[in-house]
Amino acid sequence: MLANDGVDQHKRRFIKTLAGGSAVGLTVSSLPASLAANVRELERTGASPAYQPSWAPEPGKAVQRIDGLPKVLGHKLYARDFRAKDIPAWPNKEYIVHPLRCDRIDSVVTGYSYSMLPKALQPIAVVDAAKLAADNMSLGGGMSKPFFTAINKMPDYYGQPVALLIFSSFDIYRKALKILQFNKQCIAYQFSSASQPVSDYSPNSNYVRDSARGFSKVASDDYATRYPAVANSIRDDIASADDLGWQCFHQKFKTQVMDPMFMEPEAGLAWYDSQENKLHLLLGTQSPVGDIEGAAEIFSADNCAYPLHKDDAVELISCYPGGGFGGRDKSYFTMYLAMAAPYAKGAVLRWSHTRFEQFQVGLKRHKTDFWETLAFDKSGRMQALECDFVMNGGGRANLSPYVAQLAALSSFCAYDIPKAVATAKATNTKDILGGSQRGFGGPQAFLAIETLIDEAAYHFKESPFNLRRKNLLTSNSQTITGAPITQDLQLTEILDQLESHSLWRERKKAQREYRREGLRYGVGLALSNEAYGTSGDGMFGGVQLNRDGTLTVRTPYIDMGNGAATALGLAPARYLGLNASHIKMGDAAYFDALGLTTSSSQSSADNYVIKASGSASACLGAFYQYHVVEQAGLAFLLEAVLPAVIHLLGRTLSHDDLRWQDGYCIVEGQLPIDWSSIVAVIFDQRLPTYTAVHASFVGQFSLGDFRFSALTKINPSLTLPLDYIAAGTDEFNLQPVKRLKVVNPPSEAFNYGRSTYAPCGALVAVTVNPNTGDVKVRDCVSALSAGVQHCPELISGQSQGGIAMAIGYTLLEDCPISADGPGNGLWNLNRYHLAKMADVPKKQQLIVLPPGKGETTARGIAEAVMCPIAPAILNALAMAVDGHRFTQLPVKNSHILEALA
Amino acid sequence: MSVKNTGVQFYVNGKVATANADDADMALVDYLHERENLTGTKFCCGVGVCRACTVAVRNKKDAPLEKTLSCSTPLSAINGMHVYTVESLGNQDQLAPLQEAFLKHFSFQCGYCTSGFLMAATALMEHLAVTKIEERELDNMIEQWIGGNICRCTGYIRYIAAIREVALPVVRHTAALAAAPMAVKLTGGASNG
Repeated sequence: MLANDGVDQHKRRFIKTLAGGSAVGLTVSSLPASLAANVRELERTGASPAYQPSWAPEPGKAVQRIDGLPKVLGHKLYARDFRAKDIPAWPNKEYIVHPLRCDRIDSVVTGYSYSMLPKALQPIAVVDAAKLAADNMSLGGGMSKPFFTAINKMPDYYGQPVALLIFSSFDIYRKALKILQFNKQCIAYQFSSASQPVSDYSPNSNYVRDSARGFSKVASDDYATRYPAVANSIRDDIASADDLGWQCFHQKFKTQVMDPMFMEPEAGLAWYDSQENKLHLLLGTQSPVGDIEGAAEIFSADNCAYPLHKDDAVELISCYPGGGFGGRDKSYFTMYLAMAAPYAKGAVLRWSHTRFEQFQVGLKRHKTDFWETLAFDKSGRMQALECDFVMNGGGRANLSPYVAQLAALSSFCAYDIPKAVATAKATNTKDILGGSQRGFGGPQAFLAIETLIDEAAYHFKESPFNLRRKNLLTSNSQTITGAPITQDLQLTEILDQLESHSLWRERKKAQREYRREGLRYGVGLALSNEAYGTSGDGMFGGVQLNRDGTLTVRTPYIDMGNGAATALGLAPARYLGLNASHIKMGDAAYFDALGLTTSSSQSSADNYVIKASGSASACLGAFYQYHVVEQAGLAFLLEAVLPAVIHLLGRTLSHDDLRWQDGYCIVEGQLPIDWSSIVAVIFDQRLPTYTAVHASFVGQFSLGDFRFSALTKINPSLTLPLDYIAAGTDEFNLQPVKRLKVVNPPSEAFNYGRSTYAPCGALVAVTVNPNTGDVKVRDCVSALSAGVQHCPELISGQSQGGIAMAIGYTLLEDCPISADGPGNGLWNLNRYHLAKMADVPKKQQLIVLPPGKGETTARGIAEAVMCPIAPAILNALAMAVDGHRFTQLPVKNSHILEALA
Repeated sequence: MSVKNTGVQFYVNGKVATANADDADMALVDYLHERENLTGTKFCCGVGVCRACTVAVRNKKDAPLEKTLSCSTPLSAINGMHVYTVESLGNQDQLAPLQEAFLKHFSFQCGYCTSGFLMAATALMEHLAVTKIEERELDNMIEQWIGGNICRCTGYIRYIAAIREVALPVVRHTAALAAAPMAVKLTGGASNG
């Protein structure tokens, strides 16, 4: 039932070799299923069909979220909900930490103090740079700069702690916080005139393509040596635009730092067990495996005062995050929590960011300075593009250079451009920390090209639809890297839908009507072509049969709220006719224990796969993660259900002979077979009750030939889009299904950069009050290429949320990087404004296109609908404000009034 | 009402709760979390803007239900009051209509703001049960009562749809009764019916 019955006792360790070379045993486990899943499947009545859970009573169709019930009941689900006493086998004693953080970057720290606390409120432990050095604690999780600002040093970035104060109870912490928070006496500074050099985080990105020369990253083996010369020749062409008969459009853009503002400020529990030399963590993260490895690195020095047992070093309990949007992907919060744990002297350490702290040190979307030149010939065909993106990465590298990279990779948007130079980098500064955030560079890239196209259309006196149509990517096109377009992008359909919509057709009439009210009005169009997945992805999925006949999905993936748990819960239905009743998210250990390797030195081994499983970003769910869970269902069909049915019927069968109807297995010429009969045979015959599969995708899936014992009389092998399958009756001892061979994607695919896309187009209508500069988004129509829809309600919800977030990005949200910004520790939602109910248009329409021809899979759309909104608003503002092109976000009232003056 | 003239006494989900004088300045949300282990009420901004921490409160037993920000309400301000949290609304066997509607409409995503929306909407429902409005006024009323609650995931539309679905029969019923008090139990534990 839905009681807090503690953590899952089924744990197993996986062995990881840390950066320093030592190998340690690590464990990641999910919250107990009773907390994480809907419990009303216990209301089963009747026969087989009732094995369907109540959250999804029809195969493949959800009537509510699988995680919905505990969320509406307010049960403990998020890391911030838990206390030491909630976790069995942990000490009940709990200490609380408060960091003293730097609110300046222009000075040397000369000391810190907490002497203003009365004796009764003094901390029981203090941790600082000197303490860490004395204890030989290391950096972890890719940190290149120290945990603390040391005395007589300058801070590396806003919010870097000088010390952690650990309090022996919540009551003492609460009272001490009232004294310490915002207290200027806590840290002493001395201004320093020392220069603050800015460098680049590695790698910088460059993408150069010249189709006439056949030159691209994919096509040219000598890319690394030739690209500078090719880039210069393209620049020369752009400089000679007049001679070539080209018309160039150029703009400089500035976009602001944006906070992901997930609702749950980061929080967690940590316990260093000095008896077992083991670190225990409980938190909500998008990157549990990376986090746990980083945590182990902190304790990896030979002479570390707090050693970890090498066979059983760290255990992480992975909670549902209260929002993520990328901001919990490789967040440094985990590293700090882990580092601080031993100083709680055997008690559990609780660290709960205040919102002020979250604004100060949480990962942000970068301040981005970028420019773009787009050249058209006289017929309106794009001929060349040059662009450059510089993202302020702040004081830690994080994923910033890769965010910049995706901006460059996304610079083509939905268009075929014969010549292109796109460069991007992230800079190392002392400013607030940049990192992953929804869109991952795409929003900046689309903002540039989509507003330039609109400007060009205005100049050419051509419909913005027609100008886009002339330049769309087609199946014969290539991306900026020279990668092929392998999907039906449905771009023409998207434009057709929007052009025929009344919001566009009647825009002039609406403009006249609003004018009578004293308001300016405009409608803007924009496209986006956001990639989902990365340059190469590995993924795991698993299906488990429970004694009561229900299914549990196993996945290392995380649901940040995007609905992944719900979609994955539906995935077994295709092959098993049954939705999952439970899902274990963040269940990395189940799969890591398979012992797969990506080491090229072991490429001939049976457990070699080309891509490892990475962090959880929302766009990975619908296509990638769904694929492996669905395939795990197929593996379960082949390894367990098919042998059980053969046993029941006493005849040779293929899995293709089985189909599902109303919860019964249908075999031609036989009476329907009750699911419970199949379940009984599976357990009686000790057939596998667990499956785990892995897939690798680099432009296409690796294809494996597998031998299934139940099929050998019919088919000696089956080719599947998987590179590893295991099954068994004991989840701690799954056995591989014989892999006869595997065909991996061609080597050039590793240079594609991205290869899967979810295009979206948007029309946005705005009004502008010329007296106040107020901008109101009135209406929005989106047309989305989403492929097959697993759950239309989730797609709609993601879309609506994306639109709200984009409205905030364009008009409201702004974190200044100056000393007056969130780095000073004084920022909260009273200063940072995001879209509320009144700010979003209640008239929104999402047109989800039918899947493309032959398309049988879903696309990752978590970012897609958000991406065209900002440029569409800017294009709408251009219509409303006499053609003025706004190039800086957020567009403020003062900007509007300035433009109208 | 007070305890030994120094502490605070109030009610949480119908049960008597006491806090000593030392806790009088404690935020209600902290009390719920640390003393009552009721973590369904969420902390987000701590400065009363996002309203994720919304609970419902009656000033006295028969007073109207009001929404209150637990992050910025000290215990000293709720002496004698009746506080209702999300945990009072329903259970897995019997959800409140708003909880059912939020599930049906896929109203939330990460869910961290959900309890705040539920409690604000619960107070709205009681208000609508005793206040006659026109149906066309309902959306404005929802925005007036719930519009300050921030949700980062959803864009609000599915929350509005769910609340509207539960509220509309209440509005009609109230209109039909022409200001007579609503007899049916609307909101689980937060109801005084």
